[in-house]
Amino acid sequence: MTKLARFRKLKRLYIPAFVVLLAISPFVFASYVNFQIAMIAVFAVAILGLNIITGYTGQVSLAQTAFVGLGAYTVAFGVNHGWPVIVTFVAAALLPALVGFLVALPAARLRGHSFAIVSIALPIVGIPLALRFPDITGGAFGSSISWMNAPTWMHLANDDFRFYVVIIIATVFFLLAKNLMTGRFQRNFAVVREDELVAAAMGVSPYRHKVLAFTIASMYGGIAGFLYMTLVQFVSPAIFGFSLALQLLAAMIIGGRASILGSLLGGALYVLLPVLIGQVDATQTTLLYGAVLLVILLVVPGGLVRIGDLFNRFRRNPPKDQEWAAPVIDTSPSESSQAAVAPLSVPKP
Amino acid sequence: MESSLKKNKGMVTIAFAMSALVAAALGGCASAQDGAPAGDSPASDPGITDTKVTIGSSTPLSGPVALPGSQALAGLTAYFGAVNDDGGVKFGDGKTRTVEIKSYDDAWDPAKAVSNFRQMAAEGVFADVGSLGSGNNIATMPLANELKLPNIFVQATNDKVSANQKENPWVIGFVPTQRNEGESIGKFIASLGEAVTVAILQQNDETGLGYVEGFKKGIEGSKVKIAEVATFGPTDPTVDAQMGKLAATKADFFFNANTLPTLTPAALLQAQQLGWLPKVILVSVAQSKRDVLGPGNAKAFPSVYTAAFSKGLDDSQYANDKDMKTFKADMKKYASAQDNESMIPQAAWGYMVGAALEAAFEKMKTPTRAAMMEAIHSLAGIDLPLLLPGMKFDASSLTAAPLQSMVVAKYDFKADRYVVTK
Repeated sequence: MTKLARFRKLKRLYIPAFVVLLAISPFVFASYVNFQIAMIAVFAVAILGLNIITGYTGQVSLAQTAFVGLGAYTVAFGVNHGWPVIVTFVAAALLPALVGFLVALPAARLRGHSFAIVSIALPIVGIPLALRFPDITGGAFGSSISWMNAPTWMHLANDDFRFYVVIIIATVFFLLAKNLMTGRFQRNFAVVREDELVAAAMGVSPYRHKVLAFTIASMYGGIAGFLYMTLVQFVSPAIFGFSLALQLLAAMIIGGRASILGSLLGGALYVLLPVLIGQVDATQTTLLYGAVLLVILLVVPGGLVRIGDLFNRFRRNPPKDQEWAAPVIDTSPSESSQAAVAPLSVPKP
Repeated sequence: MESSLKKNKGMVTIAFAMSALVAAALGGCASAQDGAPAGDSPASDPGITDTKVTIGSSTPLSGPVALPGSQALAGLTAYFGAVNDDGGVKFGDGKTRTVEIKSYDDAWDPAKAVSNFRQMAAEGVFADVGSLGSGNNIATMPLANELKLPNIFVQATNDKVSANQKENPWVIGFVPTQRNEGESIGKFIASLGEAVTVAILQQNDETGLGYVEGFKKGIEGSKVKIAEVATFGPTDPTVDAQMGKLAATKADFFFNANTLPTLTPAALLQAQQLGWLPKVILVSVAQSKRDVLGPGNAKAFPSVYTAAFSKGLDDSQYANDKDMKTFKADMKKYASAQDNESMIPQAAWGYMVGAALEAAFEKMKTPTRAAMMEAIHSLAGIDLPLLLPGMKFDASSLTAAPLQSMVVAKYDFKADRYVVTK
């Protein structure tokens, strides 16, 4: 009981400590450090969206960068046409959500790999579209904007103001996702992920939930695009690059599937790992990046969010197996389907 | 109860692990100055001491343009490797300094480029030198102003980089732009003095438009006429329809304002099939024997031209050239270039960037970034190693890249190489 009390106390402490740390960060750390923290928030929001469709609902999507890009281009368009910031924000969130909804209407009828293939089409279409309308998108060399400067009454540096904007918006949408993903929706999404037939039998429409999850994911992508433009202030068709789509998916898996915290860890990994590797050897980044990802997945297959399990394993009195086995809801579809098949295939002696 | 305990333990571990990761990644930079002494006439700017100057190079070292990016960095490294071995650069203030290069990989991603640029400022780098790519460098332009961190000798062919140096005083390009290249080609055809017609295949983006607008400027007031301009999208699978349209004009010249090494040979083959055999002009980034001339059966055409500003690395006429020999030896010794076969022109351009920067350092009166920019703009009409004869480096303009023109070379099928036309 004392142990439990101690951890409860710690839990009460670390969230406020985290909040205080973020709040004072601009005054304590160098602007480069704050920029990296804010970048983590940007990609964590994108990965969180991806987690909702891929992690929670089990539909592999490679379309997330398309929505980040669409959100970013919407911001560039809005800023260049003098829209108020709030209108820009709403447009950057809703336009990708609308596109995501329209794409999901037919795509959600597909399952598994077919859905993934359809989702690939979106970033692929993004590049020629961006090039075809240079008046709106700035064409091959992209669109550079200057906005989101600190209001004078705040007496803040622009960098610090942008840091707060990004952190606050990201936090709000993380909390929203956390609320959404701890209740009926999480259960419904999970059952759709595990078995669509069972879901349908339970009265949970797989089709509707897939459309819903994809629409939410698209909206999160658009919001990440808004935050991206707040920090980077530049967007070019490079954002639709296929490798970025794959890297986001990898970061989500390595951060932790079907996990809010895992999304944050995935964002941290996506932003910080190249920085770390660059300090080791800037000319071998791809090789080292691949090697590190491989090592992480071998050591903690469940993603960074399960790193606690690793420490448990080294404890003197490890808890019994069933105690720290992942709950059913956290297993990936492939693992669970194998588990379901396995007993049937074992011949009786 | 048990499960919540477990969960908390995990969360706390993760919180610790994550803080450790953040600290490890950023620790090196947090303590460094953050562009602090960039205020009023400091004694010296970050990144420069009495014995050493630290420059950075944020360039694509992975991703789709990893090869040109890493070759540009290799050329720069080779140049200053040799300079440092000779004792360093004698600066305009009388002190001799060695040059340290810190490399950063931006993967051609604007977000990473912006992040690297801030990292360089935080790590006290004196200047970003020889970065390759347009989008990534356009993205950092506002930051260069804000942080007063120079981004010099950018290897980008987009006009934006050097076009407005009054507003962007910390950024200057290096290589000729597409407009420069188009204009050089146009002037060359105009200089032939004949009433010829030109059919143009234009890539439908800023790149293609840059070539064509430059070309139109180059032929202004001459007898050269443009017969037809056909455009294609960079992602189009073929250009057969466009080539049909162009072949129908039976123009004397075919200007391929197309940077794609895949569609260029396809265009050449289609022209041959249609029985149209004009003189062909290829742009400098899609003219190689291996990728374009061979697959496109270019020997069917009466002549093939391209534009160039540096000596061809595999051109036998420069095999005994003093600069070329030094360059190749330096690349081998300091940039561990395995063999000369795999070297591409960007390595030579990186090497030239090194030479231009050394010339600027020699003229720099005080160890500040502003003094360096001033010294750069005072470089007018200087020679750089590997520059083609007749070309000069001139950074005095505030509206153009230091290398503004190109020389047209004709392919000699007997000698199997491009030869600069007289």
